Amino acid sequence: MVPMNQVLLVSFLLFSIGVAGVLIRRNALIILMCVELMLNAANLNLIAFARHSGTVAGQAFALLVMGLAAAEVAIGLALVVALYRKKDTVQVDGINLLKG
Amino acid sequence: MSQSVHPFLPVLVLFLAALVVGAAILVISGKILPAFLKPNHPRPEKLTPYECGVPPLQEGARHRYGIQFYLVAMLFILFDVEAAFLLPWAVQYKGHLGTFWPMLSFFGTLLVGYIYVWGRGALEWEC
Amino acid sequence: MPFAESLWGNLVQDLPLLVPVLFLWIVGTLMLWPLGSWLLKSMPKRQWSGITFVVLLVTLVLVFRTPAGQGFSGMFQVDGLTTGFQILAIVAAAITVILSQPQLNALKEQSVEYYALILFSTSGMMLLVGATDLVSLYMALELMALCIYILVGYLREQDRGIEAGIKYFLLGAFSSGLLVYGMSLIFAAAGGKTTNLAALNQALALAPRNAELMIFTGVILVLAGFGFKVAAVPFHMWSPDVYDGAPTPITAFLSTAPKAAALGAFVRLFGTAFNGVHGDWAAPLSFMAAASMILGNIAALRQQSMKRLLAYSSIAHVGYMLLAVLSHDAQAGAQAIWLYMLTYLLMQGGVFAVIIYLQGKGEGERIEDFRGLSKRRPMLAFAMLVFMLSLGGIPPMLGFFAKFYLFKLAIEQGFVTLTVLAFLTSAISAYYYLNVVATMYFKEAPEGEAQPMGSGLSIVVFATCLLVLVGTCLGPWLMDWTARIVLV
Repeated sequence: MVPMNQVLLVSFLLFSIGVAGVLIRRNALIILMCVELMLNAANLNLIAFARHSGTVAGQAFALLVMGLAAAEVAIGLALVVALYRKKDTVQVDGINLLKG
Repeated sequence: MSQSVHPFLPVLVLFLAALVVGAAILVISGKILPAFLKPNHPRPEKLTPYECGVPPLQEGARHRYGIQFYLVAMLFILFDVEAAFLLPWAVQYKGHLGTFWPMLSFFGTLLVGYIYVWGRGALEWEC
Repeated sequence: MPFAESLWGNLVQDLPLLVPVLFLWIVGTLMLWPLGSWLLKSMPKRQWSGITFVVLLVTLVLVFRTPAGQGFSGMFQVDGLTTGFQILAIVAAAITVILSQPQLNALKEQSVEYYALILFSTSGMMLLVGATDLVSLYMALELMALCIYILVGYLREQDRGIEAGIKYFLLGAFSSGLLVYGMSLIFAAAGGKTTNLAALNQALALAPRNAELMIFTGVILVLAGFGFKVAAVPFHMWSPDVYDGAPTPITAFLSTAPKAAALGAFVRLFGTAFNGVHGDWAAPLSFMAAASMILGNIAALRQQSMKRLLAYSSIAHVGYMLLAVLSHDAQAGAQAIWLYMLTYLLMQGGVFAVIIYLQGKGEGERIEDFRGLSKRRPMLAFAMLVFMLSLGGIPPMLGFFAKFYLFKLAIEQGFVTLTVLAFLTSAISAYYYLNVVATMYFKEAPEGEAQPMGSGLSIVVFATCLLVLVGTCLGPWLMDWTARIVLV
């Protein structure tokens, strides 16, 4: 069995890549993907530790996180498509009307 | 120096300091100073791939997808992942009505969403 | 498999706890699909606001009739905290629905979906404040937030609307990522056996020494996630821009209902599950509270736009309320927050009604637009005076009593430095609130006729102003009544 420390390390790396991506990338679609990466890091933790302790609560939580992530992506895509129709770009640098 | 400090701690501190100073120099010279110094007057001509010559027919080498693909993809993600909830139940289902009715009500909820999507015409290709 | 056998029976048995939420879901769905498409042809679209308002009133009655209890395998609990904060969410939604009517008519953007989304979002808040499990907590939080993302970007034909929508969505999704990862770390540190809040508290107390870092990181990430939702200071960047770009009724909704619900869940989560690790989150949370008070009030000083001013002042108000979250006594904290949020809700509703009146077609929300309001519309100016004095916490007003109880609790709990800071920053806030009053009463009015005011807006202004004035007279007894409603 894989030791729990390694699972934590992998999930932490996934999470860090996601956070770094959100903070660095300027493309709305890629930011969306990085958020998914963060959620999947959490899923990895949930499933690994649920399996480790032999209970199902964490697995059910992971399934729910997947479902909600899908809903979030659908809404995100809808907003990005609306942005693209309006401003012909998906770069978040292009949205700068609101300031102060 | 007290006994509890690791002998290589100063090395670590130096390493971190080097990282911070290096990053600071990079950021200041690469991002902050140019923001004040460099001229920034983007014009439509400057942003095109070739400043003189014929205007390009497509933006770069990327092919543009129609907006309909995104709509269908969104709906697909939703119904696809919600259907994933059915799988663990189906694997464990052994004829207990106790889990049958809750799943049926879940499925009914999905069905209402599907009919709404259909009724609003989101499934028509020519929107 | 006894669990599977009894699942349906248990669900049916627990359903009474969820009657108000289920009612909202069913009505919202019916509005969207069969009724929506059938009735739309025979009925003008503007009726939807009235229907939604009636639905919310019925829900309010149902909330009062819901029995207290726990159910759904420890996922959901109805107690005083749940009922109290559910009432706040419904009242905020009802005010929003009335305010939406004139604005959407002016913009010709009426649609069934708008009202259905407000209903769904309210149902998410009602679930959120009663959630006693990480799973249901996250689910309810997302249900609330997903609907609001769409509502913020509702005016997608306007550049500012879609910008606000994208901005709020990206930061909201990021914060929910932080929240879930924090939850997964807590779950892992507690041994990976349970997601129930009360059980987590016990499991965290027994956690091994080497899990301390994990618990700390998890708690901080969850704190950051909630900080985004309530717009407390290091995580407040989205708030002024989103308030500015969203449709004004939605701004009113955003500044009250989700904050009330998220603060309710905040108190429950940190008072129940993380009670044993109080030392881990007390210092970061005090920092958040102090920074929110200082930055919110100081940044509000230099705002020209009324919506941005209210955004920054709302950050400051959240800072005050975080003082009560810090309290060791979850019950007293919940009561103080409830009372504060109720008064804040009324004042905020009234102020936004005045802004929407002045906006007309979506422009002109600057403070300058209030010039000479006392000549053009004396009653409206008087109502605005009441709201502003109350928001600033000037002594005889209702807002003062709410603040007084909050600060009294903080002093009793020993947060003297923070309370002194709250007093000082509160004094700063009086300046910008009184500045608006001075603009209304002492500056010359611009040329032009006063436009007529719709009945919906008048009702909101009149009702909230009356309630604030009545509350002012009853101030000393308010806390006793609150204690009877919000019994944890």
